[in-house]
Amino acid sequence: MEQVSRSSRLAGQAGLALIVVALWEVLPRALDMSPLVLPPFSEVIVQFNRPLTGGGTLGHHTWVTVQQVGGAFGIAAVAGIAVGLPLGMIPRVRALALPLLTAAFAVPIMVLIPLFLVSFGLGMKSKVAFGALYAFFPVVFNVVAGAGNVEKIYFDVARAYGLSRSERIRKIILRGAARNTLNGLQMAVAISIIAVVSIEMFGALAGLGYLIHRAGQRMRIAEVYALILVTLLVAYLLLSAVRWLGRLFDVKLEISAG
Amino acid sequence: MTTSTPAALGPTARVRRLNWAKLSLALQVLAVLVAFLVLWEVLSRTEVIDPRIFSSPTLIWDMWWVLLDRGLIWPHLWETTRHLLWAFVLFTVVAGVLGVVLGMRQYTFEVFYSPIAIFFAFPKVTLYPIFLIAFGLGAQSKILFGALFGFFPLVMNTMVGVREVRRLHLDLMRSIGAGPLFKFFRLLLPATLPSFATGLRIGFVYAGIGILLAEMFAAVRGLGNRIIAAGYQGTLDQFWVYVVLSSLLLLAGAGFFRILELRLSRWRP
Repeated sequence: MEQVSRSSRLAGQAGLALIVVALWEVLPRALDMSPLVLPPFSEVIVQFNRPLTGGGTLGHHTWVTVQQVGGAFGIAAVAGIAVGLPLGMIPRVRALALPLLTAAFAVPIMVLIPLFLVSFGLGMKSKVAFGALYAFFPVVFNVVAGAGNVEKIYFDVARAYGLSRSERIRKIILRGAARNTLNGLQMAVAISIIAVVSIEMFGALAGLGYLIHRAGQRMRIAEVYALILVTLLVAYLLLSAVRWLGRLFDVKLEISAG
Repeated sequence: MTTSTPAALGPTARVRRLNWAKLSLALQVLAVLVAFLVLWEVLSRTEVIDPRIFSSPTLIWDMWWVLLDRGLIWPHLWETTRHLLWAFVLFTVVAGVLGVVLGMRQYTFEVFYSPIAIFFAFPKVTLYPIFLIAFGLGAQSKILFGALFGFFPLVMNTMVGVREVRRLHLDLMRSIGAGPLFKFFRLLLPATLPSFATGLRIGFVYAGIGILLAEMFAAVRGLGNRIIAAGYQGTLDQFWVYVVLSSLLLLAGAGFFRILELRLSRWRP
């Protein structure tokens, strides 16, 4: 198929965004929709000038969420690589770990939210711990898969050149696993955001999920939409940062890998 | 298989060896699971982990029978399963059609794929307050919320699957003068189905998570509702029964689609 240039793709995406915003502004009025379901876009934007139902400033709550996402991601990344590399390097262990990790993907970790709130409290600790557990799995899965993806010929070459064991690990296995690892880290960012905001909606003292929950309880739907836009922006910026990092290492985001 | 192998012996011998490898792997996986359960039990009995919070396999097993006796298992399991099946039908149709339409042209693929990927990575839970007000407390809001969760992985995988039909294969079809129907059944469908099945598997799991979350927020029945109620009442033995049950529900579905996925990609070299 023909290649699509970057500028024509961006133009298409800008057009798409414009159409969505225009419909969002016009349709609720034209169809006489209840403002409790879909208030017009301008009504949502106005909310940024009003005080928050949950109190505090938007900047403060956003910062709380970003910190928790960062903490969760950091723990998941370090633990996932530390556990994944030794597992992935031994072929027998790897063959055993992969089906177990594939199955673990189907376990709905979200249902453990009450457990984390009960044992770690309503503060930041429960969010970081829950996000770290959730994001740990994509990292460890991808590291294990990557460490074993190295083609045999590289090892043959290494043997021919008489590389030592530590050199083999450093120069071949780690390089081979880098691609998958970065892919896992990109998924981990997305999952950290999802996990942190989700648990914030069930019980928290601050953060974007907390604000959305409070506004929703009071039926302030325009405010909910405004906060969703902020969350979307935060998610987009964090993902772009990782994608940019991935581009440095020449890795493309493959979010549907599983 | 080499041509020197006797035809009568070759295939059966090959199949048997494959099964042995599979069986041994399955046994090892089972051993790991048993070891995990034993470790959990021992840690809990010796109170290294708090048995009031983390329970233990035997305590959960006992509680399962208690709950079964009280009729607190099947109605909730059925409630969640029923919603999940409806959500599954809904997102399969919508995401399947949309995935084919958007994936067929390189331009629409390029324009739509990354916005969809961003929405996939965006915490969709934040939309639940709106679903609740728009669609009420009943089944409707849960089914639609679950379908929303399942929609993204399926539409993305379908788009990728449709796009990856090989140029070479399309040229080959043209060179043999294949009609549109022949082309559809012999090339487009088999080429797209494996990726579609992957989308179904991931979508099913995500839809399940969506339904459970919706039930955790606002419901009077269903596994998610039981999980949140047991969690907040501090009856963690019950909590674990429902956690295990919802995990098994999603694992069973994922396992089914995994088999489908492997069958459909058998034609690949």
